[in-house]
Parts: sequence; C-alpha cells; structure tokens
Amino acid sequence: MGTVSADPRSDSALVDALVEGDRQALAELYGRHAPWLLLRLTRRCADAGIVDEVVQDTFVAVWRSAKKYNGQGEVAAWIWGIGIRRMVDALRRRPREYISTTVGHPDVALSAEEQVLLGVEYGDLAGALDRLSPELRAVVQATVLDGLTTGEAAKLLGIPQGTVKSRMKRARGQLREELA
Amino acid sequence: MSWHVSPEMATSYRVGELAGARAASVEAHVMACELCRTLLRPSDTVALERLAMIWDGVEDQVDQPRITFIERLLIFCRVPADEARLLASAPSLQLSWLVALLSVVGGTSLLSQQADRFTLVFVVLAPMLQVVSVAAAYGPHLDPTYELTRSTPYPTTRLLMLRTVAVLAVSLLLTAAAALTLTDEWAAVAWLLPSLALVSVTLLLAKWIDLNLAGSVVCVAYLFAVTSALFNDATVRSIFGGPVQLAAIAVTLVCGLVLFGPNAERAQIRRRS
Repeated sequence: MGTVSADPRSDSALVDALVEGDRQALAELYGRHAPWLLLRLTRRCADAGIVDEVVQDTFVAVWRSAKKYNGQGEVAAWIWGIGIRRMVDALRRRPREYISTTVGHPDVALSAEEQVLLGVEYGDLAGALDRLSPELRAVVQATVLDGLTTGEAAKLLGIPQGTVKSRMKRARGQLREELA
Repeated sequence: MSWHVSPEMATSYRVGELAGARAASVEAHVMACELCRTLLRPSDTVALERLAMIWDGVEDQVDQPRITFIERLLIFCRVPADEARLLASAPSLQLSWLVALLSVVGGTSLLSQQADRFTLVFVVLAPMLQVVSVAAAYGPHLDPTYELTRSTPYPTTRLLMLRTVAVLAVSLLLTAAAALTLTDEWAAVAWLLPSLALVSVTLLLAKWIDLNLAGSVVCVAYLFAVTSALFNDATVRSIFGGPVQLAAIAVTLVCGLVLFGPNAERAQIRRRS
C-alpha cells in the first residue's frame, strides 16, 4: 500500500471483483483511493478521529455495496459519494464545523503566471467564487462541488433546507452577475 | 484533458495550504485523472501509518458478521447490542422463518375468503404456529448458536424468556394481522387464548424436558385433541367456544404461576447434553 502497485485491473474491474468477495481487490482500491479521500475529507473536517472513522466506514461500505455500483461514471466519484454521505452522518452525530475549503486562506500571492493559467482555465470563475460570502460559499461547495442534495447539505451545515435553496439562489445570482 | 495538477499544487493541497477555487479544481480533477491521483499519495511515514491503521479497521469490520435487519430493529428499540445479537440469532427470528410463518397464516386467511373451512384451519393452526415458533427459539437441533450460547456466561432461563417474548411478539403480531382479514369475528380472536395456553404449557414442560421436545409433545397432544373434534363436523365456535377459552385462561394462569410465581423454584431449563 502506498507504493504504486502492479495490479493491472481497472477500477471498475476491481469493484466487480468485490462482488465475488475478492479481498485483494479491496486492498488495491484502498491503496488507490484512500489517500485522496483522506485528504479531501480532512479539508471538510478538522477532527482526524472522525475523518479516520469516515474513511474506514466508506471502504467497508464499498465492500458491502459493490453490487450497487452500476459501472457508469468514475469509481472515484462513486467512492466520494459514499464518503461525503458518511461524513454528513458522522457530523450529525457529533455536530462540528463543516469547513468550506474556499473559506479561510484567500490566495494572496498568486504569481502572474498562475493568474493567467487560472484565467485561461476558468475565466473569472475562480475569483468570483472566492468573492462569495462564507455562507454562500459553504452552500456552493456542499451542493455543487461535493455533490450533496439540498437535504444533505442542510444537515451538514445545520441550516434549514429552505435556507440552502435561497443561499444557492443568491450565490448563483451573484456569480452570474460577476461573470457576465 | 490538457490541465493537470502540478507537483507543487499537489504538495500544497496535501498540506492544506491550497485554497479557494484552486483546491476545488484539484478535487474535481482527481475524480477523473488517475495520474494526478497518484500525486496525492503520501510519502511520509506518519501518513502511511495512518492509512495502514485505517486499513486494519476496514479489514476488521469486513470480517465481522453483518448486523441483520432484525438485530438493527431490536437495537433501534433500545435493546442492548449484545442482547440484540442473542435474540436475533434465535432461529424463529430469522427472516426465512418469518416468511414461512407469514405465508402459512397469510395463505390460510386468504383461502378462508374462498371457503369457510379454511377459517377453521386458520384457527386450528394459529396456536400451533406460536408453539413451534417458541420451541424453535432455543435448542440444540435448530439453533445455530446453541453451542455458543451454552458456553456464554448468561443465564439460560433468562435467555429463553427473552427469546420467547421476542418471538411471541413477532409471531403473534403477524398472526393477528392475518386474523384481522377473517370475516368471522369470533375466529379472528378465538386463536389467541389457546395460543397463550399452549405456549405456557410448553415452557412449563421445558423445565423437565428439552424445549424442542416439549414443543413437539404439546403440538401432538393438541392436534390429537383437535382432530377428534374436527371429525364431528365442527365449526370454529364449537371447538373454540366459551368453555375452551376459559380453560385456556386457567391453564395460562396456572402455568404462569408455576413458572414465575413466588414459589417458582429457580430451576434451570433442562438442556440436553
């Protein structure tokens, strides 16, 4: 684990093998996907204990619900979907701050080169996103970037569903205005 | 895709310093790019050890038996997890068993809409089904966890009673639900008191003989008594009429007194060794 492994099977072939009870396939998937999942979840929750638990639960769920993977879309996205939902559950049991990655350290010192690169890639979307207020950014992150439903986002952020919807509407309006 | 995560970007993402839309782009990109995912693999021993530790947890959980639906239901009803496991492993709480029970009571109650004779069959069968459920709740022949529970430092009588209550709650409910569809109102309730009487006799017998055997003895005796009545062109009312109901109450009370009354000896339910 950790080292680049020689298993030639594709992610979806590995998930298929899970259905047959192939434990080696689970180890391989863990080696490929646990590192980024751990990092990405760490950016959502500062408590390492909770993150560890969620990563563990996620791969146990991957093992048990491999049958439900429909073979469409990236396996990574499927795993993320499981992981972030486990995170929602874990944070609900022990209410804690959901950290929006876009809140906190604004990139002050972007080199000119980076500015250009990002500009080419996203237009001014990056800047527009960063200029959203923290509440609006948290909602955009939970729904658009993390792929949660309105209900799940509401649970995660501890606000009513209606508020998620209205904030999303405001964020969309603001982005549209800035990018127009 | 022409854009990829640069090694510098990956490093600053890993240590949590990359912010804003750029962090979001890294996250979105690695969903689809295997190459960039490898950039996020840790190289330091602390992170590797953490991943290895979580993996141990995953393997541990994967090895554990799955919590069954019944067990989850019991835990939801605030039954402690260890007792929930003991209860849920009762053979008559397995899903297959419940399906069998439901198809018998459901089937006969459905048939009774077609022919009145099946109403009688339902009322005759219902008490026996309760006995069979209870008798199968514990014992060397049917219980896959029998050896396990025997070697568990847990009072056998208490386990038997716990399981009996749990089993009866489920099987009585299922039977009652099916009985509600009967058109004959007397038949819809006539089975209940005889059921309780037969079950309590079974439990009482289990003080001296093995529970599975006690159940069989009671069932055979009951069938014998009912069959002789069936030949006389009986109806539900003639077999399960007032006197029988009263007798059922008396039997239940007497057995209950002997089992749980003040003078009840703390005899262990006999187990076949």
